[in-house]
Amino acid sequence: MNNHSGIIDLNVNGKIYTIKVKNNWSLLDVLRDELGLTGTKRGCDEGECGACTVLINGKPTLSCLILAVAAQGQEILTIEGLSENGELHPIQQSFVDLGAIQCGLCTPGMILSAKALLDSNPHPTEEEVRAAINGNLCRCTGYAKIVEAIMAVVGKTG
Amino acid sequence: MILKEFDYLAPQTVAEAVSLLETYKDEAELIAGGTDLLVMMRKGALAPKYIVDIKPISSLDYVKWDEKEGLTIGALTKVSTIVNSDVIKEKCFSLYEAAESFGTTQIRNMATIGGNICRSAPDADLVPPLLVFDAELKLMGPRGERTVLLENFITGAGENILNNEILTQIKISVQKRPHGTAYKKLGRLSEDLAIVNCAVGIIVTDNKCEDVRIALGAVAPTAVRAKKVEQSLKGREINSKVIEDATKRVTEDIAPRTKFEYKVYTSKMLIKGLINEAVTRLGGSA
Repeated sequence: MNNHSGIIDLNVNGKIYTIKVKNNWSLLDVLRDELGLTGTKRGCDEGECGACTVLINGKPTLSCLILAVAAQGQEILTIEGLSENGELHPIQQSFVDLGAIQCGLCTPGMILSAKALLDSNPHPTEEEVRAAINGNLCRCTGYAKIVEAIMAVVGKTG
Repeated sequence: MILKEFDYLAPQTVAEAVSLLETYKDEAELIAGGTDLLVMMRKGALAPKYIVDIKPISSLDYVKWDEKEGLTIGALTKVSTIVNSDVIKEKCFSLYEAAESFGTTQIRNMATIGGNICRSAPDADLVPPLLVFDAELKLMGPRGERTVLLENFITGAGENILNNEILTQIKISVQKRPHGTAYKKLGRLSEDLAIVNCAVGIIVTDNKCEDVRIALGAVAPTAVRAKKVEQSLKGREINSKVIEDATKRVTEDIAPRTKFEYKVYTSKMLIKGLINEAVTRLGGSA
């Protein structure tokens, strides 16, 4: 093994994955291409769109700007880790029920950003919701249904 | 664009990190939050052979206040930590305002105050309030530690005086006398780079301006103190005519490229608005 790669342990959705990675792979690359967790999307690959958002130790983070080798020892939550026993998380269900999904590319990142907000602030105002998702760009919906879907679960999660 | 390959090193202490920088010099880049470095590498602007990851150095992540030392912030403190810090809100409100308008939720969870300063971009969002508060920086290098004023640290667009050194701490002089501060970043979304960003601090006694600090970013290769404007305000009564006349002198303090003349106009507007806002906040530690 040369100096450009290494073996790392990643804690993703409560499971430990031991894998060989190259230093220049981002966490996004590894989640999608090595672990097959394609729920996290690649949008711009440069930290502007938020499609690659995952929760690291509960905080929304851009996986395209994290080197996989630097992601060890953290609790990583992807959209796949949100549903339990095949049941959608209330935020996911709300997006479905209220039609807050069009192409779906922004959706996993949006939902995780919303979850992080509600975990720390269970009763946000609409303004606080909009501020929390300001790093998740949506090219389809105009955000109205997304904000509605998040507001609809306020007080119902956690 | 795929990142070029590199060796990844993760020192556990400042001393180890300095030693790596001294060994690899120009072939190494430090990474903290990575929100600038990785973007630049992805665009092909940088291709270091060694990446020195200083995130594990937890001793550089703190916000401390004490009567003697003042307010000190570790260089690896995340912008989100600054937003959530009661001490910073209380002692240095415009730094809180700048941190709140920084990037996006995700970027604030990753980016560090040290990274923002060391990237030394002309539009660095945290720099203007730090200039207003006479921030002092502690640097650690192969030849030991030195302290420099932030004002002297950034030397040009993207350039600073680091010489195989690491920024370890930012110290802020907390103004003990009643004063007002204000900050504004002009842009459509917080995610945008600032068109102009500006911080103001003012002390007013008997309706006269006793002391004032005005710092502007994105209007010159480095953030600047609008010293001619400040001079025109000191000792004068605070009223709209005095402020109007003083802000005209901003043309002597800033140097936007000529095609950005609107920045001169916007700087004047911002300064006026922020002085007025700072004056309304007088009396408290805001």
